[in-house]
Parts: sequence; structure tokens; C-alpha cells
Amino acid sequence: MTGNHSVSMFKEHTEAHIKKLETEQLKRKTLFVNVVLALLIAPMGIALYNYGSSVFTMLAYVLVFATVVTINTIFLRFPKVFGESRLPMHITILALYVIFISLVVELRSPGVFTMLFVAYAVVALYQERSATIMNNVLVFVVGVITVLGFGDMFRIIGVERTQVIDIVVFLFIFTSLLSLTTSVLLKRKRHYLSQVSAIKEDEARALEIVTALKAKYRRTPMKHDDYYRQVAAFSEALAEKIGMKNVFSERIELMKYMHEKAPSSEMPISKETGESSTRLSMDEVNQMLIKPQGKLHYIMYKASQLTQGDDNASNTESLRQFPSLKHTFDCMYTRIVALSAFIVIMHTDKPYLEGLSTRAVVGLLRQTETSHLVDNDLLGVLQENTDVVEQLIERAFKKGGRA
Amino acid sequence: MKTLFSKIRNSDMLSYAEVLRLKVSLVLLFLFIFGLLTVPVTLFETFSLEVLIFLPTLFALLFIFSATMLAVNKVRTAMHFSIYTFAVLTVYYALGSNPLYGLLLMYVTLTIIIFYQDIYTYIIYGGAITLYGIIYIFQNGDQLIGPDATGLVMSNLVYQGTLTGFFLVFLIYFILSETIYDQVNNDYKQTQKSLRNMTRHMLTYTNELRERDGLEPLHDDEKVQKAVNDVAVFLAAFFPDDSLDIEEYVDFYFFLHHQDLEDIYQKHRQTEIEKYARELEKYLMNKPGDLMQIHVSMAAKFFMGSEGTYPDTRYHYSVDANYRSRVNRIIVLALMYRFFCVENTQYDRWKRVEASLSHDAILDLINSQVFRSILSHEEAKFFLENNKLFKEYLG
Repeated sequence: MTGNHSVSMFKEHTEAHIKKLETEQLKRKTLFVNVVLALLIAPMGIALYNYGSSVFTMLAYVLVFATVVTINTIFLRFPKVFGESRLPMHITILALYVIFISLVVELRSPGVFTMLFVAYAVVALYQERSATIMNNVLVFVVGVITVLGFGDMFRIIGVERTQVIDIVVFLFIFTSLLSLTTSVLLKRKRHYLSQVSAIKEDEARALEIVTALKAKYRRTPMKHDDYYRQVAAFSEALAEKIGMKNVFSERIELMKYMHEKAPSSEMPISKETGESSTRLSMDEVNQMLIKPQGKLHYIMYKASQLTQGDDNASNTESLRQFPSLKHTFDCMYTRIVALSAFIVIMHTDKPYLEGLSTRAVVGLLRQTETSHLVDNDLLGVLQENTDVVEQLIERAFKKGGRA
Repeated sequence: MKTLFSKIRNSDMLSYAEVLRLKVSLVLLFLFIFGLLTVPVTLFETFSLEVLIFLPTLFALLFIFSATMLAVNKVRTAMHFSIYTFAVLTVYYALGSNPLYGLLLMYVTLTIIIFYQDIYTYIIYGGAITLYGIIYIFQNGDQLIGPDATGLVMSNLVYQGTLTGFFLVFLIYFILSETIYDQVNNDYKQTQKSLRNMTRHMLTYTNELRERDGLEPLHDDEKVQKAVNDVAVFLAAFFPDDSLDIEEYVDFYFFLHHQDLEDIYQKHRQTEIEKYARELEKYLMNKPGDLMQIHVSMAAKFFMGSEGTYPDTRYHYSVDANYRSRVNRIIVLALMYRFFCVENTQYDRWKRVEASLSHDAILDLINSQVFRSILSHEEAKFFLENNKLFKEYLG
């Protein structure tokens, strides 16, 4: 089916959008981490001073913090410097654990050990997969190294014994619990991002479908000549009103020309407005054309729908409740009717999509990103009886009408 | 156990309520193992008799209560009581012979609260545990001092500062999570709303086009009705339910397509009719509910539209994001006004998409907050200042 290419492009677009969202979020998290790191410098300096560390040692710590903060700031200001790598994040994580180990060596106090958890908490702010794996491994390994290598510092005055094994067990509990927490959180975060990206692609394509349907429904094409002519008249009056030269007319002429012919990068753009005839500005003019399947048409169509109230909107609707064919409180027969109606609708020919066979529908529903839409047991039965269901639908459509 | 781990693996597909249930189950399992392994050993430690009897008993009672609440589906109550249970265990250890263990248990308790990922629960219970920890260090600091410490005050400050720092950094973590979630969620809700409106239009256009071809709307098409009935009867045979007749249920489903549902809810309040009508409303073929939205999502996957590379502005619909030149933005604004005036984009009184927007309706629309996703304040201001000119030449 020709749609296979379309399905793969759908995935490509959503993956690209997920990456974009993740990068935007990483920038915000890096800002938070940077603020926390900057705030940590003062109390650390005070602690080192009170423990009698030399000025040179204190300066060394400040230098490490300042370097990490600077790298993160460069990432925030000029993210392209680091390309697609997450180097600033990984440098920050390693630096934090190195600082912790050096503090253990420097101060050798049981109180310092608990600072390990603060390092963990700071890294947790990233809420990112590779950072989480590094964090969980490092907190356990560094913790065990500290306990085994510097066990003497746990000899608390007035306490008979502190077993090394007890601390290791505690570390194990701490790490495993937090690993579980973060794995659940990251999975859900990824799911949210993929849902948002998928719905964005759905919307982009639905706009194309609905404008194509509208064009088919209205029979007569949009009168683009009228649009350009009236906008030209408007722009002349506008220029006169604000007392400036009419910088619009040449652009509108260009649009009319491009509407008739294929857009060409050779076309010159305004000498009067001083804009260069780059491919980018030509692309922009191309996006302004009044074409049924053009970006401007989609924008205008979407904008016109902002007047619509939403009868079905509810306060509970959110990422925590996706559209589904198996809502928690639905009885089994409701789920059955929902699934049956879905298969039949997908089977019916529509102006925007040819009918799909039951096998194709089951194939769609078995994909990872859609498998949560249908009751698992029902889907199992449907999969085992695809041919029977297909025959039932075919027979109903051939005979026509209910008995 | 196997089910539990499979649920963790697939936790991204679970609903919010199911995830909370999974988390409470894990915490209770962890509490059970931890309590079973450690509490009997501590019985040989130097606790006072009251502590030795009272706290383990309280621990056991709270644990049983939490597990019962989970079993009867009171998941949030079970969550609160699982935290109390762990708090009791922490206090028990804090009163033991090694205060360092008590302090470490405070971190574990905070971790348990973090596990639930609920900012208010964290602020209340996490704040209480941190406060208890600070007071505890004040009172027991002399027993926590290390061999190389420079003094009690500094040692206490390090412990207290670290505990407070841990609490505060995770508080920032929650705030960050919430703001990111809110942003993503708002974006999702807005897009969902837009998609629902488009689904409604698609349904209208599709049924109108079917009518031109001499066909009835999908939900009135007898072939569609028979196919749904036959498939449902076949599938229901695998899940027998004596309380319902599947054929009658399918009839009821198609009957609902022509009814005023609010009227049904009013007339049959708190009856089975209301219950089933509410369940089925989401799946009607003539409403942009879950069924039709999922259908549109699936159709979108197969639709061959403007494919190709993924441009950065693919999902951006604001004029600013798409047009950098000011001259272009003014032309776009003029084209948009003309489009609103002459194109049929609104429902008329017969529920057909045959109406356009009047000048006043356009003024209201551009003035509205929701329209800031299309026009910036500057562009909206430009329009409002020149709206008469727009009306005269483009209306």
C-alpha cells in the first residue's frame, strides 16, 4: 500500500520533534542545575574553611565549580557549539562525583558521606536517560568505594560500631528505589513526548485532509486572483495612510507570478525593501501563496477554528487521559462495540482514505505506539480470528442492511 | 512478582491511577522485605521496652492497613499510609543505638516520598521528615560526630545542611517536572482541541459528500450497522455477560446517535441507561469523541500530503514563526482577513459548514487571548488600529 511510506515519514517527523522537545527541555534543566551549582559554592567554601583547608584547596574547588558553570552557560547561550552531544551534562555529572570523592579525602567525616545524596539529587534534575544511568551507577560505585576505602571515617565517637555492610545495604536500597523511580518517570516522560509529537503530526496531516475535503466539497476552487488584487488595493491604501512608500506591491506581484509558475530561486526580490533574494526568503514567499495545500491556508484554517467552542472538553482531559477504546470504567461490551465500530469505520471507503482490511487494522493496533488503545484480551481474540471478522464485514457489506 | 516487573516495564502505557497503584505495591513489597529482614535483628539492640513493643506493633498495624486499602482500591489512602509506615520505621531506627542508621533511614523515607512523584505529598511529608531530621541532629549531634571533626557545631551544620539541601534540590526537581509537564500538557490539550474541531469538520464534509453520492451518513448506513452488529456479536461470544444482550446493546449504541444525550442524562439520572449512554458517547460515529479521533489519527498516518523533510516550523502556526519579514507579515494578515470574510469555515444554523465570519466576529477573534497563538500582540494591535481599512478594502 502507498501509505507505508507515509507511515514511516510519520515516525520520522515525530522522532525529529521529540528530539527537538528534549533539547529545549535540556536547556531549561541545565539552567536549573547551573543555579544550584552556583548556590552550592558558598556553603562548600564555609565548610572547607571550618575544616581548616588551605586557601589553595578552596580555590581549586571554586575553579572546578566555575569551569562547570561556564561550560553549561556556553551550552545555554550557544547550544550549536556542542552539536547533538550532551557533553556539558556529562561533564557536570562527572565533576560532581569527583568533587564528592575529593571532599571525602579532604574532610574524612561521616557528615560528608551524606553529601553524596545531594550530588545525586543535583544530577537527578536532568531527568534524562543517560544522566540517570550514570547517576545510579556512580552513586552506588562511589558510595561503596567511599565505605570500603575510608571506612574509618564512620567510627562515630560514642557509638560501638557502624558496620560497613549496613551502609552498603543502605546504598543498595537507596539506589534501587531511585532507579525504579526514575525508570518509571523517564518512561512516562518519553510517552508524553511521543504523544505530543504524534498529535502534532496528526494535526498537521488532519489540516491537509480537512482542507482537501473542503476543496472537494465546495466544487469551485479558491479565487486566488481576487485575494491578490484586493490585498494590492489594501496595501496601496495602507501605504498612503501611514505615509510610506508602497513596499508591498512588488511582493504581491511576485506572489501572483509564483502562484502561476513553479517557485524559482532565480526570481529577484524587492530592490526597494532591500531584502536579498535568498532561497530562504523565496521559501517564505512560497509559503504565503493562497493555495489549498499551502502552509498559509493551513494557518488560516486553524485560526478560523479558534472561534469554535469545545463541547466535549473536560477538565480531566490531559496527558493523563488519552483517547482510547478501553477506558478504565467501560464495561466489556462497551469495549467490544467501540472496537467493532472502529474496525468497520476503517473498513469503509472515505474520500480521504481507502478502506483498510481487518488484517491491516490489526497490524496497526499491534504497533507499540497504538497497542494501548484497545483491550489486550479483545485484541488477542481479534488477532486469532482476523479472517472470520473480515468475512463477517464483507458479508454485511455485500448483503446490506440488518435483518 | 513477574506481573509486577512486567508492569514496570510497560509503565509508560499505564494510566495515572494504574501507575500509582503500581508504585504503592512496590513500596509495600519493599517495606515487607525490609521490615522482615531488619526489625527482628534490632530486637537485640538497646531499645526501651515501650519502644520495643509499641513501634514494631504500630509498624505491623499500619502495614496491614495500607495493604488492605490497596486491596480495596483506595490507592491514595494506601499511599499515605505506606509513608506513615515508613516514618514509624525511621523513628524506630532513630531511637536505636546507632543514630547514623536513623539518619540514613530519613533519606530512604524521603526517597520513598519522591518515588510517589506528588509535589504536595513531598512538601508536607518530606518537609516534616526534614524538620524532624534537623531537630534530631540537634539533639543527637554528639553521637554523630566523626573522629576528624572540628567541633559539634560544624558537624551538626554539615548534617543539617546536607539533609536540607537534599530536600530543597528535590523540591526544585518537582517544580521543574511540574512546569515541564504543564507546558507539554497545555500544548497537548490545545492540539487535542484543534484536532477535535477538525474531526468535526471532517465528519460533516464526509457525510455531505456521501449524501451527494446518494449514501446515508456512516451511522445511518445499514451495511455499517450490520457489520458492527455482526462483529460485536462474534467478539462478545468470547466474553459472555448474562446481564446484557449484545445485539440490544448495539441497537442502543446506534439509537444514541440521534438522541440529545444531555436530555437522556437528565431523564435517566443514576440509572443503567445513563451509565451505558455515558460509556458509549465517546464512541459515537457522528461526534468527535475518542472513536473518531483515533480514526483520524490512523487515517493521518496513511494520508499522503506534503511529505518530505521535517522543517523546524512544521508544527508552528503563528505568523511570527513562519514569516520573518515585516512586509510579509502584513500581507499575510491582509490575506487572512480576506479568508475569514469570504471562506465558509463556520457552522450555520443547519449545522453545515456554510458560514463565514463577520467583521465584528473577526475583531472579537483577533482580540481573544487564544488568538495569540496565531498573531502576536504587535500584529493584533496593527490590525485593530487599521481595522476600518481592512474592512473597506478586504471585507
